[in-house]
Amino acid sequence: MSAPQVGTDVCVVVAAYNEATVVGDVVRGLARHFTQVLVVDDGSTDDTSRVAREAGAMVVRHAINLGQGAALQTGFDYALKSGGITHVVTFDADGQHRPDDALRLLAQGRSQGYDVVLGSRTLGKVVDQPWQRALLLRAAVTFSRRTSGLDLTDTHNGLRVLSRDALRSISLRQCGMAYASELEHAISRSGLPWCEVPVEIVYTEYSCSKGQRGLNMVNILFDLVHARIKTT
Amino acid sequence: MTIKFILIGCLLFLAWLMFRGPGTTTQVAWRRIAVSLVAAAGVVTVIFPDSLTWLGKLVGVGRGTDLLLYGYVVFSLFLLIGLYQRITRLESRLAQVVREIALTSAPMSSLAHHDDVSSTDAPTP
Repeated sequence: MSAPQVGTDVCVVVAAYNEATVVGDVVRGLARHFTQVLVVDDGSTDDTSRVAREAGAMVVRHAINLGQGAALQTGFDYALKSGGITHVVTFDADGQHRPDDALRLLAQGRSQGYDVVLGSRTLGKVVDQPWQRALLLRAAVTFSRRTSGLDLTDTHNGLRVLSRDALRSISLRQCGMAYASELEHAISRSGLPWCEVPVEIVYTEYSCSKGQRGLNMVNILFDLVHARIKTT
Repeated sequence: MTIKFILIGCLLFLAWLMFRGPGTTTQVAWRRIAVSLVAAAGVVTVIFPDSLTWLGKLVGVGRGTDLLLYGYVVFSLFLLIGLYQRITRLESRLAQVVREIALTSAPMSSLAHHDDVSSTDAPTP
């Protein structure tokens, strides 16, 4: 195996909660291209931490489960604390993203000077997406476009590249899934240059069973409205 | 008649419990004033039940018991929302603590070679 092409100035952050069955493969897949893979174990009750460490990742562990938003923010803080990191890649732990896509996002951000590069499913190829998921996603995208002011084609896509400047302008307070929209809002407010890049999402049986249920959309909505009221 | 003694006893006991408890000096002082007033009003309405009906008529409620019920519902809703907000605050503080612990016990060694931990990099909360 050749040495990873991406050096120590990039850190891939993988937030994982009870993903012991898949996180090993995800980390190994990433480690082929990236030197630094950080798994934030969000208080898993299974072997996630051990599996991730054995696969070659650095592991930071929450003592209790807080939610994906909190786990990512921990990863961001970790990256900011280690001075040499210029970019962070966020990558889902369930194996629905492709490391190749992460590389393309990173290349796009670096070469074109975008501080934020978001993966987009609708621009890319979608493999075996259930129609309920498609419908839910369309509603979520419409909502996100309205509230964030960003002309998005996708939302809640776990694959992103964020520059150090972007990380500094982001401080996620939503611990749960509503963080995704909060993040979009922060990007919009910061005025940093951003773009979307098509990515391929593989809807495996595993990722579907782990994915957000439709009803959770209601929770995300309410969390956001609540947060918006509190900030104004 | 016995019920009056029981109710007054309970009210005074509750007031006594509420007199102590945590908080800053001003919070404690305000709570003591509020508790004294509520307990006094409670004792008065227990001894003179008609006073509630009189008050109810004054604000346009038919019976004193109805007034009591309305007051109780509104009061418990305030209480509920107050508690909810408090729990939400607690949760966000708990999240901060957990994340802080995770980071301080993190294997920073792997990043140590370019580690220039600077507080200026931390995002403002």
